Amino acid sequence: MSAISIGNLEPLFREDIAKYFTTLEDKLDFTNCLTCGICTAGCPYSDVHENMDPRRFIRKCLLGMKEEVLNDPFIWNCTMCGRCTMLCPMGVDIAGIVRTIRGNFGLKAPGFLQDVVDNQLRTGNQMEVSQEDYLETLEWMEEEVQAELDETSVTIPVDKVGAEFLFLWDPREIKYYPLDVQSIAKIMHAAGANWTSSSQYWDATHYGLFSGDDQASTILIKRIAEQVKKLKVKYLVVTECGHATRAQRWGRKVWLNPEEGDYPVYNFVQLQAKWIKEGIIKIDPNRNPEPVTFHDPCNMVRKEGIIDEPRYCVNKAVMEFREMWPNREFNYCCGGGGGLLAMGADIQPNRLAKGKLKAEQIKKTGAKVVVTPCHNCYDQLNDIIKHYQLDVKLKHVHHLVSNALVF
Amino acid sequence: MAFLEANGKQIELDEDGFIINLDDWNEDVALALAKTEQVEELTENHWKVVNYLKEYYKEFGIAPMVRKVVKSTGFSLKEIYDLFPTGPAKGACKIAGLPKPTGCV
Repeated sequence: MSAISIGNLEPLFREDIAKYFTTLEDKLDFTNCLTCGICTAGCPYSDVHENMDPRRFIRKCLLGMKEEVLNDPFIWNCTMCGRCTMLCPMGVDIAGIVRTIRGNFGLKAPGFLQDVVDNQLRTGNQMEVSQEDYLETLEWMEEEVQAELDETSVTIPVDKVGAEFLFLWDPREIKYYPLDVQSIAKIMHAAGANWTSSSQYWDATHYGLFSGDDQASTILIKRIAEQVKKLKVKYLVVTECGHATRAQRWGRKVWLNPEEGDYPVYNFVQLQAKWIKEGIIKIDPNRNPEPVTFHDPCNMVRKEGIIDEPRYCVNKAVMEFREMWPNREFNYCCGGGGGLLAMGADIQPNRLAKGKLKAEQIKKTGAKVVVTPCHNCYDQLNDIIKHYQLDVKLKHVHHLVSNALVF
Repeated sequence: MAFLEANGKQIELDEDGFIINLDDWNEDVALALAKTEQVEELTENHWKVVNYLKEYYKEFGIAPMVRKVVKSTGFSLKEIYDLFPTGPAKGACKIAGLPKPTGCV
């Protein structure tokens, strides 16, 4: 503990932060901090490794310790999971302040976080997939589903004006995991969905959410809003990806004018739950006999409130579902959120240290399968499974549902 | 810093087990990397995929899409996964000595 030198404080720092802070609430709400420390008590990782104390961080911001804040490793250690804010009696949005500091004070993100944003701005998607390659993969997977179901009427529609909804992909599904495209298209076909994808901007992901670059975020969200208008769809559906769900739902409210961002946005798990509930798709849980547990992605569950729908799908699609504890909005972050998976070698030891809690949560369930509707959590869980040598497989919700489909 | 031992030599790896210096890559290194990705031996079919990935990377500076791998090697997706159980993105690319792809992979 070192003494705070009053002479070095910059009392106007909080106003600087407020000026850049992107939020739907009052920009000065964070100054209501009571110093109670519930944030630090609620952060699962505050005693896992150094420089992981939200209370310390918010106090530094409010005292005007600008240099300390800008050099604080907490800015990059924080996974922006929002558990502290959920518990804070004053609703201080620490993740939001972290994002503001990351993006507005000339800091450079560790690892390749910025490259991901740049790639997406430059090429339209974060993995630099050309339009030709993208369309070819969709056609290829259309043929694969046709062959799998022995049904030539299966389509993966592109640029279908007036479809009910527009579906956004994670580029890794297109580039590296086409079996995910197949699985999703199979469910769409079973449901008789009137859907489409855009040939131009189809990337759901949004690393501006992590880098804090509002200029980039506005460009990215505008591109999607244009597709919604151009294709005259009723709503937007995001693939099983947590941060993309957050960025597309919350982001349209903060980065667009109200009339530009007036379209509803759902995650694909919400559609699957609806279709199962209404009997539009039929599933047989006997196809998924192993015990399954569910990991709640913070962005989808805690921040966007999509809590029951993924559970409903999993419960219906498997023989045995076991909750980990704590769960739902109280769940622990996987340890890889907030862009940490893109921050390279320096952050990795902390990321894996955080993952130990998740490893223990999973182990206690005794489940053989961990399911999560988020690619980011998926990768972190993959690292956790390897590092802590867990005997579990990893799946998305749609994997279980498409595997259990009865035609 | 992690290291891989291949034929008595220490090869530097990144935090995800990808090699850092592409010049370090040779067939012994490929085999040692394969063992970290649940591939016990490299058959002729494995080499067909690995060599394609290497050539593509040399030309374009990024990893190819799975669609291109399937089309160019003639293997089905299932065959690719049989050859590389951890998948084409992480498994096969790592063995071929490509750096870890940036982005949400």
